[in-house]
Amino acid sequence: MLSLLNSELFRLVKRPMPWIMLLILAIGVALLYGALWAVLETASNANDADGLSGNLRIGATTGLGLGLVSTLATILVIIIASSMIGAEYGWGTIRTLLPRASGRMPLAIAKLVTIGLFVTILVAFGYLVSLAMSALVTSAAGLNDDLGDGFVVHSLASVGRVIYTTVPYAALSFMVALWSRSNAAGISVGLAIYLLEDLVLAIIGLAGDAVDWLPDLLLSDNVSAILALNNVEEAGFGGVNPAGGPDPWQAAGTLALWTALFLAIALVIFHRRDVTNE
Amino acid sequence: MKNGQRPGAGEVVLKTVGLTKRFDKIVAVDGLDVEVRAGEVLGFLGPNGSGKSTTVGMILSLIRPTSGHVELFGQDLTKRRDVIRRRVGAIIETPAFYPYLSGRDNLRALAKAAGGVSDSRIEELLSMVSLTERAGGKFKTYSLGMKQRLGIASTLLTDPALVILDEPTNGLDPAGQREVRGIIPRLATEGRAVLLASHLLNEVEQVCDRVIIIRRGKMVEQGTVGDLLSRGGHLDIEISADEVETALRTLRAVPGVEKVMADETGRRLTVLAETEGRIINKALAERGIYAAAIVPRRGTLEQIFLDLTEGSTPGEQTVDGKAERRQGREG
Repeated sequence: MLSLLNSELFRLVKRPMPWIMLLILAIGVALLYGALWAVLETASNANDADGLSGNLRIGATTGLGLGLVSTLATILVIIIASSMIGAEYGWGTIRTLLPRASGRMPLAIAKLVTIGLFVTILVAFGYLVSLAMSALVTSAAGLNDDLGDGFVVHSLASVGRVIYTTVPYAALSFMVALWSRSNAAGISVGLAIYLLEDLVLAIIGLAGDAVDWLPDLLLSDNVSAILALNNVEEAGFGGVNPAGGPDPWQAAGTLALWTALFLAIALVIFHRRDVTNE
Repeated sequence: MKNGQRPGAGEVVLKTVGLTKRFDKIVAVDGLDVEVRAGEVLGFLGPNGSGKSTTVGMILSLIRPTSGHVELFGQDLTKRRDVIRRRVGAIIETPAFYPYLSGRDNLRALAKAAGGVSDSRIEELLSMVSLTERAGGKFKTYSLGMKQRLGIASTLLTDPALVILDEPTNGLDPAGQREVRGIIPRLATEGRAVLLASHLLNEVEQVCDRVIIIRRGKMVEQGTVGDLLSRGGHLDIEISADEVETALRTLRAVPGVEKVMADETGRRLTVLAETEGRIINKALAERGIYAAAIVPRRGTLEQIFLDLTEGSTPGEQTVDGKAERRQGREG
């Protein structure tokens, strides 16, 4: 298993895609802070300026910066998770790699661990860039630089929450790419669910209260319930969802069940299906 | 036999027992029994869709057999899956590598997956397949020939005891083909077992010790190359056109003669026989027919292959393998 993980990490590091993703994330965060700083500098309304100052200060990075990181990271993770297995089929390298693997399960697990490591690096990197940009703006604009109590713990918990909420989407796109043997299919389905679930649920919600329970069983509301804690600076590793909706621990359990289901389906398919030149 | 050791000469390295694969209603491989021994090159022949790649896929655990099993180094593959990783090297159809990696990094990636392969081994193999100068170039920029050579290098990363090559000279120029054909027997000489799936019958004839021919997933012939070629031999006899009918009757009566055919000129007879030319000559002479020439022709693997896989008769194929039909009368 370790040799396969070593090979996966080697290929990940040598591949341009992850580096481009890190660059996209850094540019996205820099643009966000740059744009909001520019708005702050030109704001004529004192209330708007106060609101912006509150969000741009370094102590609020888990809200503003990490909020953007969460959105971008989920999209990028959907792409990389799908590509990790879909591209193997597209290039035909699965037939080259599998005979070198100690088994199918170890290979699948090595890929999943690699995706997990990449997600962690991506989100942590995005947060560090956010902190750097926030520190720059805080210093340049003379904003409140008080980090508050428990900033480090809250930062770690917030980064952890963002990582955790990307995992079901990574598992979903991995499963679809594996099932369809197609990178594009994994990305399409992953992005469609990530971007359209709220819209579809809103339309279904028009049908009345009969399906009120449905969002609690799906991904989007549960992700929101967990990420909402990032805006509560004293939340640490626990807390109550300030926006209402599912309890964060219940949400975490629901996401874990979805992740387990997606991965179980993916592993069963990978274990049982013939690898031909189709 | 411990992991990493070379098997003893003649030891059975690969054995398939009743290997069968069905895809829905299609039987791709049907009860195939194959043995490959250390130190030999086994040619694995069959037309497109005959089940060669499916068989190789089952040997490499890429495809699950419907029934039957594969034994590698005397062990059931289902129980020792890890044997493949260290002791089998294979190119399956067109070599597939990561397009964004260089040739060298592709080998490194596979070496890391297999474990225990040094950088010096990678350089040694790149040199062996004449890719050292281009080893730093991206795989996607490689010509088909370079891809094939990288594929051959990848099969040897772990110094395997069994090498499976599927069309290894595909896309190579004549010099490259000759180079690869030089490498294959050397692998066997070093004690490896080599399974060579190829459409290039001339290639198989040159480098293989034994041949298995499959058709529609079933083995239709096997034997040493020498045996198969001797079975495909015949005699060409030149006589006067007015003596053809007599000669046909005479030769059909000679013990050991399987088939006699005359070409459309009526001056040349083709005789499939286990009988020597001098006995044929004597039989004709006793009827007052004096042949202008009796030329023994060696069979070719292509001729035998086509006989077995397309149902053509030996007389429909010239001895040099060109598809020139003899539209003669059959005696």
